[in-house]
Amino acid sequence: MEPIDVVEPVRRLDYEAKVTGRASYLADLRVPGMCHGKILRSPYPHARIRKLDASKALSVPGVVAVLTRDDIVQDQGIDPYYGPVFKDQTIVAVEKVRHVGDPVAAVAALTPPAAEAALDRIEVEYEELPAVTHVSEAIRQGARLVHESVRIPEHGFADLAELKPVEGTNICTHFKLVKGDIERGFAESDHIFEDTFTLPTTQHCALEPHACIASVERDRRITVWSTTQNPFVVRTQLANIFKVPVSKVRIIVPYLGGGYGGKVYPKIEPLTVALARKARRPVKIALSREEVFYTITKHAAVIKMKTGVKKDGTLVARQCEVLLDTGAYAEIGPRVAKKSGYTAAGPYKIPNVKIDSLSVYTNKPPAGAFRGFGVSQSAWAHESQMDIIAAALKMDPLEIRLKNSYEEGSEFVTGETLTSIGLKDCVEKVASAIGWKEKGEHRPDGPLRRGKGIACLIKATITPSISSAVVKLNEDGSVTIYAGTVEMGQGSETVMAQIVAREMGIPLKDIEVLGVDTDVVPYDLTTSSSRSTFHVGRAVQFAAQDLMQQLKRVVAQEYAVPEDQIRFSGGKVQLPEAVIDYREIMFKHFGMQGGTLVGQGQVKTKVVDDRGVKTTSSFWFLGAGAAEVEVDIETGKLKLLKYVTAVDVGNAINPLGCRQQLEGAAITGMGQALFEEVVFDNGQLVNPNFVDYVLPSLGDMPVSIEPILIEIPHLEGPFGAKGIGETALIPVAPAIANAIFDAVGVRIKELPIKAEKIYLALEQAKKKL
Amino acid sequence: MKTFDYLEPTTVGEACALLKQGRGEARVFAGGALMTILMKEGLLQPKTLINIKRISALKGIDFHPAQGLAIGALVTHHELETSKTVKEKLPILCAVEKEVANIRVRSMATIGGNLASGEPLTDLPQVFIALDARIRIASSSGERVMALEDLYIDYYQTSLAEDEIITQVIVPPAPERSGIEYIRFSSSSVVDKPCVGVAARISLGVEKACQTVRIVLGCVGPTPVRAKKAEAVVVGKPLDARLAEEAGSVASGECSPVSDLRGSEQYKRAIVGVLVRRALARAYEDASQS
Repeated sequence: MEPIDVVEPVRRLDYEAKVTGRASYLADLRVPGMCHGKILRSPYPHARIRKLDASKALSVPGVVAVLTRDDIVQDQGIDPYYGPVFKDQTIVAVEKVRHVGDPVAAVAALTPPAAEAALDRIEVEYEELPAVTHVSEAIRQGARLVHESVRIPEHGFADLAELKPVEGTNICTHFKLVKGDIERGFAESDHIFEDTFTLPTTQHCALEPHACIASVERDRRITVWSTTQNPFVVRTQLANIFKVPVSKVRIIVPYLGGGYGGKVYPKIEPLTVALARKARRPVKIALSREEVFYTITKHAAVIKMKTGVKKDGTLVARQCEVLLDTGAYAEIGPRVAKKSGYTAAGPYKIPNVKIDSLSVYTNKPPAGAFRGFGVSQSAWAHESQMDIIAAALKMDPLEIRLKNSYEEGSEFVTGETLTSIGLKDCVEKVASAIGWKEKGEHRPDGPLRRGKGIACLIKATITPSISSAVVKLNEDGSVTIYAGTVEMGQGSETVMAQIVAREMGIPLKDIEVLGVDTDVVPYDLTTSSSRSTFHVGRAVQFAAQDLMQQLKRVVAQEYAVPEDQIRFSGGKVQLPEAVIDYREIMFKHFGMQGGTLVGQGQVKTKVVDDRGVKTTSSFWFLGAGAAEVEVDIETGKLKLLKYVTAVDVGNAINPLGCRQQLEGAAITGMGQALFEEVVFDNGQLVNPNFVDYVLPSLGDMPVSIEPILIEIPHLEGPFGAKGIGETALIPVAPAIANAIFDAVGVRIKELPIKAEKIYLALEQAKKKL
Repeated sequence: MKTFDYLEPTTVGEACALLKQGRGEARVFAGGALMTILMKEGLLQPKTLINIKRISALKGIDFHPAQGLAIGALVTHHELETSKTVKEKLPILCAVEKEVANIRVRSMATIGGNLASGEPLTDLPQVFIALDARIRIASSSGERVMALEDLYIDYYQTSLAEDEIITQVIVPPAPERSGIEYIRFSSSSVVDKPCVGVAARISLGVEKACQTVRIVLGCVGPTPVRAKKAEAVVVGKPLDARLAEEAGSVASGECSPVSDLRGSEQYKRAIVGVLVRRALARAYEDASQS
């Protein structure tokens, strides 16, 4: 069966509701009988709770319930320990608080001010403990332990089963990967380069802060409205915590106001449910911006990279040590470290590789998933060092990349063969678009110097994983899609509808994509890892195909035509002597205006397929970025003049959406590269607000951001499509740092690249002269 | 946010009387750009909020050839940025306003509020002081006029009494052959608060000598500060590159920056040096051409 293209310019299906402000988000939602929850948080980075007395809080007018450690420890219906990888989190602190902002107690009241007033009346006696606030300090022998012991769940994630905390240390997990013989590789090298690169803690800064409404019914049925990217994981976790089957837990997700990884895995849901359970009425908790900074962050990192090369620039050996600051709780840090580790050596063919990637506990707010998932950290290191090597060998940074980069059929560090690899195309296209050949031709203008830089990457998607979808044909020929992907701005709703439109030949206006409700839509692992188009999109495509197979059988039966003579075209079915549409078929089949046909599809990816072939990633993210910058050598001030980003998208289902994704990711990358940093002072957050935590604005944007789609169809993606959400962010910081080096000859190894860092590097360079 | 009484007087006199009654626990509210943040954060919990936005006497921009430009306290940054009168008479203000905060803040925040806040990380005070601006202040017992330069005492502290409201900013006409430049330097995003802001005005005397010089440094101390020693370096002489450089280096010693998120003390001093040199050169060029 040929897929039928519906050629119509595709604008996002949700744009009108969002642009006009009619789209409703969780904060807009009210549930009958609902009260408001507020959280008492730790003022210390590390302390033991000696005494906690909440009795005075209960006497505040309007207070309905107060939740403390006593409630969760004594209640047989609650397992107070949870966490996606290790059970190291508690609903509220039990013995210790481990970071500033760690939840200590919670109040439900009739109004938010009453709840706030009651928080002030909870008496807590802390015994302050020394805090570890930096990874380098945390891994030292004898460092103060963030966790004395960590509970391991019985049924954890399959891909993380081999990773365990190292007892008696702050090492949460240690992922190791070896290929070839690293020492021999260094011995065979003509030059060896050793550098250390760092990245600070940052925050996702989704426009919408986390929010949750929970309602617990008498039969212990739990209903939760949540701002989550992976409702099915949250459902499992809540079922475990509250000791009920998953059928008793229902998660509903409205439109999300941005996720970027900050809304995967349980956040405030366990606490909100526990509070609602205690209050015996629905409770809403909506975090403030400051609280979001206490809830989840991006891993700060220290990355040591040692690389051996031949005179001609051939990479021979690369050793990477990636220390990721996972904060007070493991969250999904172990997987971040693992994913960071896989591609820490970069998208290059290197015979000898040794990788150690650690997630490390510290007394800072937990770090978790962040667009780029560990790879924006490791790529900062490998892509900066590629230019350091090129400069030392007097090679063109473009040439050294093309010489070493992965291509179709290359062997990955794990030994597996890489397929569907459009990396070189990306690198060549960004180089040409930035005007690489004319690099160095710009004359100095007063204190202003210009330069160009390039960077590229490879990243894996979460594997194994599962996605399912249901597509329903209604009696009038319209279609409803049931899928677990959360629309959070990425445009998934539109893409899912386009896939069905193309498959079934019907217009988008006849297709409805349902919102996510775990009681209604079938299972999907998560809306993250840039996986939805590839996995859920494929499941939706399978479901549509299943539906059409059923239709074919129905037609064969009802119209007495052999199945092989039935053709689908343009949303209609062609029989040898007639053309009929879906509505007619439904009417004929059911004998009235009624009835439903249901198609289903499922995608299950594996790490070792049926033929025994290893697959670290069900598809690979490949991309490149190129920047042109202007530096004021008297102040260090940087101006981004132009940015080009190219991503191997497979086949673009929605080219406009793809270009917007690439641009958006690049802009986030610019913030990470130039401005963003959560600043700590002895474990206290100095800037958990948008006055002092600086995000990129329109005025910081280069005159042109050029997104380029490299289309190399992937055999297993729907219509050849791959995922693209994260790719374009990753090369931004190293591309800019490389452009700065090209402009003024100084190498910045610490993010963010603020003007003062460039200024100081320039001053230092002057002194050396 | 704690609850509070909310009042909307329609005259300055009424507003001042209410402030007096408030005995220090009442606050003036205009654009709310700063007040709402302080109140939401719980840093300020006034018992009474006195919204002065209904007082029409505080609105509008006027120009008189003798007195100069008179800007009502309720004029927003955006109004200043887009005012035809200002564009014609004192275009520097429009240019400065284009870079102040962001359009949302500029649309709400008022000039009077900006000056009265005592916020050190801002732009307008430097520019107004370089222009020898005065402010008109009303109280429950009368009115006074003072040089803006004298308003500031310390971080977020001004010499305004409890019952006083800034009603107007008056920018006197600049002497013939004057040039002014303001350089706002942000160490990160363009919408971040400034790291350093330097205003320089030069009015030429005989030949090409600088007769009156104002160098005002912002964001590098508790209050905007005039770099008087640096001014003295230039006064009486025609400006050249060497002199501008010297003035910059003197000025960098005349401020008291602190290390913070927007830069270290040393960096800010270095930036002051660069900006003073650049601002003087442009102001001088501007003056020479007028």
